[in-house]
Amino acid sequence: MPDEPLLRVEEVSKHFKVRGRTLHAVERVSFELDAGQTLGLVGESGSGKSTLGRVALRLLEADAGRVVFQGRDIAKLSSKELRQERRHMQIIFQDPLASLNSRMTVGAAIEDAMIIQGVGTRAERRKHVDELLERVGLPLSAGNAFPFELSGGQQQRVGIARALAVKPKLVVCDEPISALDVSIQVQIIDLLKDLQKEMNLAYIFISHNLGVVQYLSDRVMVLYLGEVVEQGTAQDLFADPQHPYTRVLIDSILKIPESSAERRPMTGLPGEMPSPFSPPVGCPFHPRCALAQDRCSAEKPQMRAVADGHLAACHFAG
Amino acid sequence: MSGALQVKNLHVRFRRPEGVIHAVNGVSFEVASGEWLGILGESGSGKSVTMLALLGLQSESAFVAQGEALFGDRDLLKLSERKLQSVRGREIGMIFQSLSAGLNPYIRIGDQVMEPMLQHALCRKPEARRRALALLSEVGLADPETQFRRYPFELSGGMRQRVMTAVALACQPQLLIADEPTTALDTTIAIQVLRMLRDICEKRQMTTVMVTHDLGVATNVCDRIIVMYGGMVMETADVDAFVARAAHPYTRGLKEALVDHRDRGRPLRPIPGAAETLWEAPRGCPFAPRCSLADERCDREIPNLIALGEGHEAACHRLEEGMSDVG
Ligand SMILES: Nc1ncnc2c1ncn2[C@@H]1O[C@H](COP(=O)(O)OP(=O)(O)OP(=O)(O)O)[C@@H](O)[C@H]1O
Ligand SMILES: Nc1ncnc2c1ncn2[C@@H]1O[C@H](COP(=O)(O)OP(=O)(O)O)[C@@H](O)[C@H]1O
Ligand code: SF4
Ligand code: SF4
Ligand SMILES: [Mg+2]
Ligand SMILES: [Mg+2]
Repeated sequence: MPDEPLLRVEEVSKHFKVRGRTLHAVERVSFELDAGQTLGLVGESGSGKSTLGRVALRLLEADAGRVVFQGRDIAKLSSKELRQERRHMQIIFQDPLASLNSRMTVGAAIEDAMIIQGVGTRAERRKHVDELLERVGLPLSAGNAFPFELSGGQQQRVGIARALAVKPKLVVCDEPISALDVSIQVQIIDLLKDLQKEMNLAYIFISHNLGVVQYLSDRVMVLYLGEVVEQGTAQDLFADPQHPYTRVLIDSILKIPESSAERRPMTGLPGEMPSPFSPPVGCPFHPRCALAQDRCSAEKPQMRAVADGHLAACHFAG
Repeated sequence: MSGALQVKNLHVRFRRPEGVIHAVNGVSFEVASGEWLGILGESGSGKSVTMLALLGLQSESAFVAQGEALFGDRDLLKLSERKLQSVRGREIGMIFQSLSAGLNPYIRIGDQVMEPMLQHALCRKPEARRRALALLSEVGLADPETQFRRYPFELSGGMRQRVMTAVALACQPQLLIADEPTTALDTTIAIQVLRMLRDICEKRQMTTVMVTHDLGVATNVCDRIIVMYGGMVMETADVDAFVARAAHPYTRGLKEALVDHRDRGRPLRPIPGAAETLWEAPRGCPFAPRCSLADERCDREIPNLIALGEGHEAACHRLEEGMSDVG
């Protein structure tokens, strides 16, 4: 199958049981991702981005749908096969400190990722650790440091080195830069971009920083209450957003004003966020949508193409 | 009610086996009652350490070498731990940067929001519960009745951050210290939380000190901004001076480095290099190793804050006369 993408997610749903009630964290989401490409995931806090990223790596089991990685349904892999595939699928977290073992030196933590995957001899691993440290812009001495002794930016470099230690093909980056300062953010973005080119990595890039998502992504998907409401190329989606929710999201970016008199009014979305336990009938966005009509609370809009490769789930898009 | 705070010449250090880290090196700032002060700065520049030291929450290996922090008629740095406990969470609310540090993973979130009200005996349980539910919905959590009984691990990062905000506001503090309160939030929820804080600031004259690295957030909500580097204040400016006349080379670099969503395809302009851990007290300008304007004087002489205009100061040897607001 020459056209098989690296990752194919088909109608995946993930529900959590919370005190007898069902929480719809991810609802029938589908997408494809090719090697070397970046898919940006944006959307409201709690809309299911991290959950979707974890389901795609089978760190969480999907309740419905299929995740096909390199042509194989990952739900059907034996635990041994899964361990082998894991090597190709890594994740970088927002809070690098929390994701590193505080009692392990940085060098040991990076080597540990290789040991888990049974990669290389001891000497080979040590050499690779040094190469990785250098590649992510850390001094070799950082290998002997403990994570808490490093700055946030350095910790995130360690997280990246650890993820790359096993030469993955797919990396889920879950808000990898949001804890960092602007100047460090830019360095990490540059690093991720260079590494992608070198290693032909595919990224699922989750971030609330829309500027960075547009900068890094080939395609972007917008989630609202666990559902995809819009997807398109980064170019189209930001230049010509079609779904009313995407428009509000982009309009809500706080830009530096010309002066204090020109600050933007602090209006975001009207109304209450609907409960994820009982999502609204019809269009999930209708209780807060400025364009909502009667039809919107009765009939659920289907995802449809509004332009080539640009899809939106709104009755009136396009 | 006054939530004014005056910090004078604060020095905080860490004892480590390899030596002493000079994290905060003479920080001074003031916040007036009801004012909203933003703190920007490089990662590791001492923002969090400053905030934690004010509250007596610095880690064991840290010590305050010098300084004062006047809050009302008290110096926070001289209060006993017992006195501080009655101030923390009640007169001063705090939102921590680390998503894992702020909440106890084994306690239902409703109980965590009620806890400070009960601990400080502000009200009884039914009233605390009523207020907690109201707070959870104010910070934008849908279905607060159900959320009330959930555990932090069941929440998304942004939801946890909002619960922490509710905990911080539970006792209606006079002063709010917020370390990166919107970093885990999407643009629309960030605006909602900021507007809520702004309303509370105005309604109750609550004073706010907010650490953020988001220049858009700082310039849209703060009255005044200070910029830190190497444990020192590099620039102080009200928002108008900050957006129009930022003078310090580091502040200018920060503004340049912003990635705008219209920037696709253009090369990024990071500030080169990275801040280093300070194993000794700075002898010159801490930004010198990365500053394109640095000369030999910058390495051997610490620049003092120079007044550039009303409420605008910067610490740099090479501020041209022309950069002054008034001159
Ligand atoms: N382990 C869990 N148990 C129960 N509910 C969960 C669990 N993990 C996530 N959820 C719920 O699933 C929904 C989606 O959470 P998720 O972490 O995927 O959001 P997110 O889009 O990453 O949000 P954020 O931008 O705030 O990080 C939320 O309502 C959350 O409370
Ligand atoms: N627990 C600690 N032990 C040793 N050094 C620390 C500790 N916490 C912070 N530091 C050091 O203090 C300096 C300032 O850190 P911090 O205030 O956290 O920076 P930020 O401005 O990013 O909030 C840094 O050099 C950091 O490495
Ligand atoms: S379908 Fe209706 S409610 Fe939903 S986004 Fe479109 S206009 Fe708004
Ligand atoms: S004092 Fe020197 S090194 Fe420091 S910011 Fe000014 S020019 Fe740059
Ligand atoms: Mg998340
Ligand atoms: Mg900090």
